[in-house]
Amino acid sequence: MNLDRSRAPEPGATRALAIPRPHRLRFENGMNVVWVRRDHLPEATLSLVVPAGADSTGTQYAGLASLVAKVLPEGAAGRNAREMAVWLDGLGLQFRVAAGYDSSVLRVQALSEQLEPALDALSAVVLEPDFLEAEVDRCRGERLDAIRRLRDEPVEVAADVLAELLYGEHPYGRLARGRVGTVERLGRADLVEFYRRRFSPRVATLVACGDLPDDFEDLVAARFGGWRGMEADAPSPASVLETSNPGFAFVDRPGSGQSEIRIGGTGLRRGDPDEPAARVTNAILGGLFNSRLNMNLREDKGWTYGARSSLALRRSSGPWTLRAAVETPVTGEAVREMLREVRRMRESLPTEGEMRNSAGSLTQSLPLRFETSGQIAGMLVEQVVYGLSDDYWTTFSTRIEGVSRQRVQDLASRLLDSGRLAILVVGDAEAVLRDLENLGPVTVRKVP
Amino acid sequence: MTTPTRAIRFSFETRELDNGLKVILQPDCSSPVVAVHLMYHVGSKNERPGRTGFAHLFEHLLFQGSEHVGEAEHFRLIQEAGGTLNGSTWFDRTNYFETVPSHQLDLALWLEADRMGWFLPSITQAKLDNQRDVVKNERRQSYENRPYGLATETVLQHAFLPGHPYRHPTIGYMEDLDRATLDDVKDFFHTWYGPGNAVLVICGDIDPEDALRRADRFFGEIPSRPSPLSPSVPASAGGSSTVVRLEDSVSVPRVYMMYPAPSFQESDYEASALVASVLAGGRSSRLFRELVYERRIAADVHAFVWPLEEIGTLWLVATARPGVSAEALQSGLDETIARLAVEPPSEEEASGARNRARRQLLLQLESVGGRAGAFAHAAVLRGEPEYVNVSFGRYGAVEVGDVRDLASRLLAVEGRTVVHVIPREPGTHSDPPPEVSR
Repeated sequence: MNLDRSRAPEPGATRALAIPRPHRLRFENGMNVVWVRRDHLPEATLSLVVPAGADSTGTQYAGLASLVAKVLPEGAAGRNAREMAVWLDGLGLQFRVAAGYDSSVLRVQALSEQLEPALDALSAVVLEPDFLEAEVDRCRGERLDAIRRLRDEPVEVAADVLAELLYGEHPYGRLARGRVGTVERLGRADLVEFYRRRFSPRVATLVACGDLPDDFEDLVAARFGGWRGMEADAPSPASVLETSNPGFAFVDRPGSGQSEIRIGGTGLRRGDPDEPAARVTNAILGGLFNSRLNMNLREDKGWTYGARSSLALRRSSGPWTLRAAVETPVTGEAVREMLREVRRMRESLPTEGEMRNSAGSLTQSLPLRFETSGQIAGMLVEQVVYGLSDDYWTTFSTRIEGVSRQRVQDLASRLLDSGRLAILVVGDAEAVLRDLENLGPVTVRKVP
Repeated sequence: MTTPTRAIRFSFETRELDNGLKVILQPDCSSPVVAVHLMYHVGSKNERPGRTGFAHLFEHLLFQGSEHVGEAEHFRLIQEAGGTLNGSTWFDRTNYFETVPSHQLDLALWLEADRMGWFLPSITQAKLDNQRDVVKNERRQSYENRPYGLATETVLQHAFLPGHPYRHPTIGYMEDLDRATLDDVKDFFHTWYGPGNAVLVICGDIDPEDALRRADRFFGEIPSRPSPLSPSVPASAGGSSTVVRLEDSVSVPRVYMMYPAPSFQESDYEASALVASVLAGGRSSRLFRELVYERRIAADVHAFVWPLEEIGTLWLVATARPGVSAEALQSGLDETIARLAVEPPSEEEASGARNRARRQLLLQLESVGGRAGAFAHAAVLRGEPEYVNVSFGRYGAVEVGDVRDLASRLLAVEGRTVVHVIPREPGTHSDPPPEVSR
């Protein structure tokens, strides 16, 4: 066999990805419907999107959007929580309601033979929620239990503290689930008011993908065409104020075998002209397995199961976060190495190989992102939430490939400036705090 | 709704190369993507005493390059091609998988073939030491430093008798990871990583004959090796008659219960999954309704079965609400389970469980990656790739009577294992995981 194994095989002929073009419809009440048919499997995903995210309330109401999302399917159209559960479970639906910072999304995944009852259930939850006092009280109690329980998890503690370090009293300064102090104060009236002002056909979109029947439009119109809501209040998120010197914080978790390290700064909003450069930069720094952070801390040093970075692109500037859980004795050294990698991004150009690797991973992966109906529905939701143009994904690769090495370094210099970055460690104070204090003044904080 | 249930059927072919490698080809041109999934019939149950965690450590080493593939190149090449990849180790099997744009099929085949045929020349002590450290950090991150993270391995230790191959967790114990040597690596590779002990699935945008030729081109010249013998597994799990208490850095107790159940190969495996679903597979389930909605003593409750090759297990996991003791939660669980005898699952409960199981299965089979994994799993653990096509119907065909019978047979106090994870007394630290007797 004359096979040369010493080099990677050449790729075959590319089969172009056909990015599906959705059907669109707008009802008289203002509600939009966007759908794509994919009938090779008997299932479908339905997502109802409203701009009712956690970014639309002040920090004193942190957790409100998320609690509304939890309560919605727990009582609607005269059915109490138990009856709703029997209804949704009996159909075998996966019924998820989630409030992120940017929006609230009610997502139903169903066998296509159950599509009509799934639409019935979705419209009941969206149009006729009852907010029964007893269910609201129980749900709030469950949410408070969960928030208290998550204090046991170092990853969750780190996320909560870092958000506040970076964003203070901006809505991004709290996790979407809120904190005990804010959720305790949320009453039924707050939930109803939020629902009335944010859930309106004028700002809602129903996204669907999968094995949809020929009369899908009619099925939707029959259930949502008559939805009457008040003039919706869909505020744009507050712009993010630059935090200067967010500092170095530490949370004690006695006995921890590892330290959770976070280094973060405010990044960019979705749609910022620098978004392509930021995506490339993040891939090089910590977005890929072969990124600088992972190759250094995991593959060279063996200090961690994985080190990475992530860029949260929201309606306003979300955080750019570097993260690793490292074994306790190397905590200080690991923070130094992570800061060294950040400095290296700022002070020198990335290599040609790194540019190829990051651009390839971003542009060549599109076929994998449009494979399943759940994924396609997710992409359509993204388009709705961020107002992306119809050619956003067909022109995506061109934008990524247009990013130069110099743009990457310039972007890193601007956004990863040490004066903008917060450092946070959650770990065993007795074992690591003294060493960390050699890096600068450390503020010890309690678990929120 | 009276719409008839559409059957699902994925056309596929099974072939065998001259060296014994089984190849399953499943064409699906709905997206320009292809999944390559290589599953070896070896897992943590095949580890030698004193070498727990080795199968998983070995999986890490297979990502460290081979004769023609440089260190860290495997990840780089696949990610640069727009693909995703990973590997995983479980009790019965170890798998390696890539999903790539379909014009990059050869890349994935070349990488998998190189580590099956030309792995040993590249392995070094330095790579072993580095990945041993990484895996120890994986154990810290995912188990030791995570609330309730050591509960599952504690259940296994008490459920199975010493020497039982399912008695230890796939991540292994720290002291055993320290013992792994380069000779162990070479022995393990020779014993378990031959082509005859693996199944290759290629699923997606392919022409089956063309894909088979490509598979043969890359894998065909790897020499066959004698088939390994799997350990014999004692038929009975054992179980623990007393409740085991495990202290942890947690604020509320959690109860873990494990019952012996049908293995993945047995005919009532699907019914056992429906029993789990009726118990705690949704907010309408028995335990959820009773303990979360009504009595409000649990924050959540979960039930699931593990698709193991030799002996199945059915798990119930419930978290207490603040102020509720593990004992009180245990009583609530036991009372609700006991009530199944007088108030057996209804047709409505069974039908909901069937619908949920079929919807979950479809979500898994929708992507070429998930489907390739399902074919590999069915081929390796059941010797029956067609199971992927029939399982959808089998879940739909479970009768309410089957669920009732199986529930009353499985959910016996005798033979189960119970672990209560309880908050550690304030002021005491974690430190080493519980003593393990082997």
